[in-house]
Amino acid sequence: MTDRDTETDVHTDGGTETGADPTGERADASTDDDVLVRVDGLKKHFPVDSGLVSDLMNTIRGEDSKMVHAVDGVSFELRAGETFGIAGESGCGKTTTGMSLAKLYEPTDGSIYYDGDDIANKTGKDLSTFRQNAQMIFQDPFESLNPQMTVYDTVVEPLRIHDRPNQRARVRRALEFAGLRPPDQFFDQYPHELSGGQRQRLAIARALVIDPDFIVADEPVSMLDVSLRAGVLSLLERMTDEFGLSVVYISHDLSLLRHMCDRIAIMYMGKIVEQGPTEEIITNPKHPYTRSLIDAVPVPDPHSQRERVELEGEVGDAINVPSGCRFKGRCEEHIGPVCDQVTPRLERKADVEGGREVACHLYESAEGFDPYAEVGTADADADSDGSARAPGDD
Amino acid sequence: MSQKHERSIFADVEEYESDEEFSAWRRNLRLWRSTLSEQWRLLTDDSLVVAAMAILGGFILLAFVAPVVAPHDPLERMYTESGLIAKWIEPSFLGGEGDFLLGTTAQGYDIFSQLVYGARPALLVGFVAAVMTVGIGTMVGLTAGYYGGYVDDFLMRLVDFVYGLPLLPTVIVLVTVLGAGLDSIILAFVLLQWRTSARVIRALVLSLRERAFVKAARVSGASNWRILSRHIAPNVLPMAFLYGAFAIAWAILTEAGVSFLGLGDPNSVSWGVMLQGARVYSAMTEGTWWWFVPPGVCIALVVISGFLIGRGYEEIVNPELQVEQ
Ligand code: SF4
Repeated sequence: MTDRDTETDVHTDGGTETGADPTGERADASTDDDVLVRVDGLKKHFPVDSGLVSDLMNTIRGEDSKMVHAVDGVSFELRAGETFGIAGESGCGKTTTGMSLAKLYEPTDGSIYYDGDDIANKTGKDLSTFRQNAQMIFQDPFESLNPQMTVYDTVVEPLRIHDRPNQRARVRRALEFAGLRPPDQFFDQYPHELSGGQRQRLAIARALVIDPDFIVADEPVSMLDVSLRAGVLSLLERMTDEFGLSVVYISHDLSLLRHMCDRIAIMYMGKIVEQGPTEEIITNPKHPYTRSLIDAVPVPDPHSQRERVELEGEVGDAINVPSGCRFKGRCEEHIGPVCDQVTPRLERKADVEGGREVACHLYESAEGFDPYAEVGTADADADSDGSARAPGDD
Repeated sequence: MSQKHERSIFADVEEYESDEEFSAWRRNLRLWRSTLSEQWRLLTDDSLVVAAMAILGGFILLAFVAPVVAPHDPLERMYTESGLIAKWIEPSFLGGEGDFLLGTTAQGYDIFSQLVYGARPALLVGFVAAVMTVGIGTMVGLTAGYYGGYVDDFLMRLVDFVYGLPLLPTVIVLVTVLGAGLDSIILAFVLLQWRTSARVIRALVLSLRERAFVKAARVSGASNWRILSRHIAPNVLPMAFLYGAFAIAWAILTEAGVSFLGLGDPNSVSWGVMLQGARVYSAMTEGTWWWFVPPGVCIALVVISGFLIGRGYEEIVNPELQVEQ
């Protein structure tokens, strides 16, 4: 019922003058610069032990739950046709960032602009347009497909929701493109009848069938057999090229991102520590965390067998976020009180050439920020947001 | 649409193929048939389940054709040739006078006829109560699990409250208040028993709604209704069926128990009512086993069949159980 209602909304709105207006504005905004997605100070905090049962217990006890700062102030831009990678260990907030991009989470703070519009404000027709333009590929193809739905029903669902014509021909085309050939033979199969690689191809076909502009791919091959990865990766590459898509790849695997992405961002504890053109960062990492990540990569081979990046030391506490640099506990180049007390900003550095931003006090700010001036004056800077967080949404 | 990229593998789809008339209806029927036949095959793999289905099927058939099979009306008084009420007659195979297959009761009713007609209330209560309990339980579980928050809070407190009530005593009290009869027994049973399936279905929904395929549906733009009806409900259906099978057995047991205590429908004969009659007239001390053993055996057979089918189905729903065996 509800989706029917939305669909009728779409049509009626589309016919009127007011409905056409925002589209025009958006087109203007995107011609100014080529930025498709702009993330501005994104924060997403979850209640500790997020899960309904404990939520419920907290509600009953009347306690204010503690928050995990999964994403804590992330900003970046994705230009149209660009591939952008987000790297980091598990738990660094990269998946949460990706899901926020696909509007699966509402940000605790900050905004995500798609084509110039804040996606948090999208409703009705705008939301429906966004849902047709932004898709997501999930990590685990055994989880991301409804076990009770056939291949055809899975792929056709977005078309049904958005009431597109020629559904069968489109499904056939998408399956063919994803390498499930001949498509008609897969129509009535259930996910459990497919191999892992075929499942991920099916998930890709579902994302592509609606002809999106923007895709978030969350660890698209990490659950697959090593032997199947190359095939799926080359499918993803073809997808980016032939559709002219803008893609955000999320992975712990730097060699994969190096292979796939124009630019990358390295995340640590909910913040980006270094960001810039992929080759620059991989061949000449500046942030101590990026360096240790890259040192942990044994073979720079996109098809290598490694599953996880394991580094020395514990990842810091994401509930009671420490003051100063979040990497200070594991950093080998720690340079004293400035690291302990002053949160490094992600900024251009005077002594780092190229189009890159680094958040570390080892380098001198190109924007005139003097961290040493703030030593001792308590960390009144960015970390004060820990107390000013908005409690209890989600 | 406002696609930003120019290239598209779908560019010519519009031209080269008109929207074909694609019989969704026939395709769905075929898919349903294959799913059902697959489940049927798994279910009938177990000979115990097959036996249970045969027994239950036999009783269902009996309930339908009761007027044909039963020689007399269950509440029709029998008379001997000498014109006296034919009470305490022994079964014909034990040489009792007249032609009463299982003899007669203390009031002169034909026991065999009562037994045959007794299948009707038992199965009626079983199926109606099961469908209603599981229907309500599934609705509550889906709503609570999917929407969470205060809705969940409220519904689950309600479940907790109902859990605090013991089944048989509460049913007895309710039936006393509502008036004896099958409908009050069904109502009382349903009021109490939706709690189990509600809780189990809710737990299932809680885990399902966090699954990535629900997120994927949301990214595709699916509404809450679509996610609930297309993605979550089909995945809880097997569990609902399972609880339905068990609820049949429980409802029949409850009806028998409540009737045995004299709170059954006074105008119809059920196995529980028969047992109650046997108790009231001390058939036990008289040693007239043909009065109380047959209804007891019938109750046991139907209930065990229900449990066996439920258990067999459980193995399909939870494949892990198969491994353990
Ligand atoms: S700011 Fe200090 S602690 Fe943080 S990474 Fe740089 S050197 Fe290490």
